[in-house]
Amino acid sequence: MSLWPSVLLSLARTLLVVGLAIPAAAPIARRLRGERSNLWWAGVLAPLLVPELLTGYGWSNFSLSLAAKPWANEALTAALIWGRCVCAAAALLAVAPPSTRTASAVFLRKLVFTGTPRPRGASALQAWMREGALRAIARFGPAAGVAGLFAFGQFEVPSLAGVKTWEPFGWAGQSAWTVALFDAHADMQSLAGSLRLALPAVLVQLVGLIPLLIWLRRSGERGPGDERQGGASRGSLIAASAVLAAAAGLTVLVPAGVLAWETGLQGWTELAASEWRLSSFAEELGLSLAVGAAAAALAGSVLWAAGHVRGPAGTALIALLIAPGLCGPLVAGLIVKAGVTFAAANDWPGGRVLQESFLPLIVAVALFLLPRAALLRAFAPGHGSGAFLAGLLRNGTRSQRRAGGRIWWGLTGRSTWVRWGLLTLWGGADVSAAALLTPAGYQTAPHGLYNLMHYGHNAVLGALCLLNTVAPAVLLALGAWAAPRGRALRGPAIGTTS
Amino acid sequence: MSAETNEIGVSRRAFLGTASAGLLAGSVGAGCVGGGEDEVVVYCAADRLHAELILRDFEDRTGIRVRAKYDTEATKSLSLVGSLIREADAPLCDLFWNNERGGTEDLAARGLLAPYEGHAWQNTPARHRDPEGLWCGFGGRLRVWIVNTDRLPTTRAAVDAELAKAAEISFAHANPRYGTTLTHFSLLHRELGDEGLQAFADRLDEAGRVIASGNAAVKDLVAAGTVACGWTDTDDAHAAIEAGAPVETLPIEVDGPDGPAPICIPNTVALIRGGRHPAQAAQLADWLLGEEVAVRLANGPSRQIPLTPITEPLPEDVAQFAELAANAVPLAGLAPHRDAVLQWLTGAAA
Repeated sequence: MSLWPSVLLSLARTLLVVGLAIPAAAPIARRLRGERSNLWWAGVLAPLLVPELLTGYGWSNFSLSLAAKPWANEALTAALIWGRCVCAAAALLAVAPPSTRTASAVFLRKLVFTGTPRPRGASALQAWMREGALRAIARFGPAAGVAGLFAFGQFEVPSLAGVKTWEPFGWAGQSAWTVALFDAHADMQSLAGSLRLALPAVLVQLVGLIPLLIWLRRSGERGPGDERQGGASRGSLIAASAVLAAAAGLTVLVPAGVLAWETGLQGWTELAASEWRLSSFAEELGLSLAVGAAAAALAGSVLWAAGHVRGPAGTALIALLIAPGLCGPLVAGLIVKAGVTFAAANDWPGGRVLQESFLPLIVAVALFLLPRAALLRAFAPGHGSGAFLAGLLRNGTRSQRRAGGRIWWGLTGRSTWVRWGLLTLWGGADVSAAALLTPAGYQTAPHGLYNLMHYGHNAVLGALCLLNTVAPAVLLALGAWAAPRGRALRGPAIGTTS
Repeated sequence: MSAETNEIGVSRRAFLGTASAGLLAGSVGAGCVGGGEDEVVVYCAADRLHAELILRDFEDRTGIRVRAKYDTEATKSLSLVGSLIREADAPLCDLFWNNERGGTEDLAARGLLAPYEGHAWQNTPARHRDPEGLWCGFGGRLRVWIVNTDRLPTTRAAVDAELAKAAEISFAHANPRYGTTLTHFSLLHRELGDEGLQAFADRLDEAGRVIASGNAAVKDLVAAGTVACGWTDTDDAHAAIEAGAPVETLPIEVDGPDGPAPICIPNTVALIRGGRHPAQAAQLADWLLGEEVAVRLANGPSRQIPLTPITEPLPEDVAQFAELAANAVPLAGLAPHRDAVLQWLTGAAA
């Protein structure tokens, strides 16, 4: 068995989705960079924070009705992935540093070369196209690459949509490589066999390292002022609104509406009456958030430590750290599982205890989160001079220390808190690594729901799915609200070295 | 001191804090998982919806903590069989509750099961248990045609006529790699052989076959009228009937030694060789194979057929299933056909 057919189909879908997502994301990104962008940011982040399970499950009955039209099902799946991808691309374009190939540079270049004889055969059109292509690649390439990785690694949506292209590829003609690998692993593949099978997908995803590394390197550069804030036309506003409405509708509003309708009062009443089910779900939700939080902390710590290695060695180390995570939680989970199983089978000290602990799951989820953590860290607001000021104030009077604490929180603390919250949400929503590594006797909420979703739709499951979507976000919002804002904090102090 | 030094200072504190939190979480995880003496680790391929309450009751009555690992409906049983094979050198599981028999027999053939001939095993008819006590069957389900009554009369003739037509879509079954559908295909392979099975599959394709992710998805496709009929198990069909869907069932029959016979696929329970809690696992096996669980499974939404004589009256539909199950096709000796089907499916994908 080979994963190549599924990988190539997933790649084709990814190219289509990204090709459609990047132009659609550009007007939204312009809004996100503008003033009064909070509402736009909320609209863009909602599809990225809502668990994929909600989208997949909300549409799964409709997908089932397309059983006779596999290509229509493919189109629906691609549209659902596009909805997330366009939001990811818009956010990436908005926070990415401006291209060094600015409009001013292009204009200057034209001035310099005016009058220079054009190479034989080169037309003005060709020159314009070359220049335009280079600018487009410089401006959109990294965002497209990262959004492509995001689209390529989707698991829950294609799995619940049941996309299959059986005819051309026989029984295993699964058109999403993630689902094909998950199923193949279930088919008694050895761990080494599963990892070997994953190689084609890993190769494709490692190509995604290049744009990510370019971006991470550029994030440290402070180029000229951002020239992308030009006035937006009314047409651009309409386009941005329409695209965002479509993306949010596909990924959040329609599936949430379907589930809310199916759940009705009956679902909530039944759930409230079933004490054991409610308590199991609360335990599972708590467990998934704890795993997500621990993995987010681990990923952040590892990145912080790696950040102290400078130069090419530092770049290589970062590349090494984020590479496994680019391949998605399933591959990260397989890698960790292989290591832990080997340790236990060879009676390494603690191998058995490790195998039955949550540590392998936390490590696998942290691996998966590392690329996202690196991006969030790279594009966090700069805080150099502000931190210095905050540090100076730390040595002052009580009121100065309080002011220093406020500055530190505003410049560093809050963004760290938000980053950790986002990573916790993403880590807690993982299904495939949890399926491989959660110790017996425990289950994370998304994995439990994913299992139950294969039995079809019912009111109680709809209610649980909605709770799984809303509860973590509400908990983290409460955490953000309860986090210190105005009072003095123990921030950086001048002279503190340990 | 520079601002950078200060930043390093605070970052280091943050690092130490977060790393400690991570390690603490991991250590707590390591500490609270595993190692308990009065517990039993169960890998459960039966539907969690039906199994969880039974396992919780066992916990309440015995004080033995049950740590269960469930599987998805889509990859039913095969995934857990794979886990047990991969973990053979350092088993984590004590007891395997499989929702079918083929995977358990595969584990027995690989030497991964431990014999246990408890009183429940002794009470079980010989055709539903391993002669050496490596596994024992309980709670059977029938393979059935589920028919959408808005689209077809519920007769075998109508179903045959539907499958004889060339159609874009009319019939569904679950992925034959997994669960009871794999057993079903193994029986078809025993009846038809390699070429016959391929021809049969080709004919189904012409009739408009859809391969769904699981038996529950087949039930949903038929209940919604997307397809006219399909193959599923009695528990899934019962769920659709209870929900008021326009569906009815017909038993599926395959060739047996005495002519066409229905297919009854039991759950199986087996102790894992090298499991760390054999006494607790044996106690749980006796509980699962006992009359109380048989009655619960028969009266519950899974409508499973008791394989041992029980004193309590059965629900009407289960009593009918039990009559059919009494004449079911023998499942012994299916292992080579199961391997051949898996090989065929893998070959088709290559």
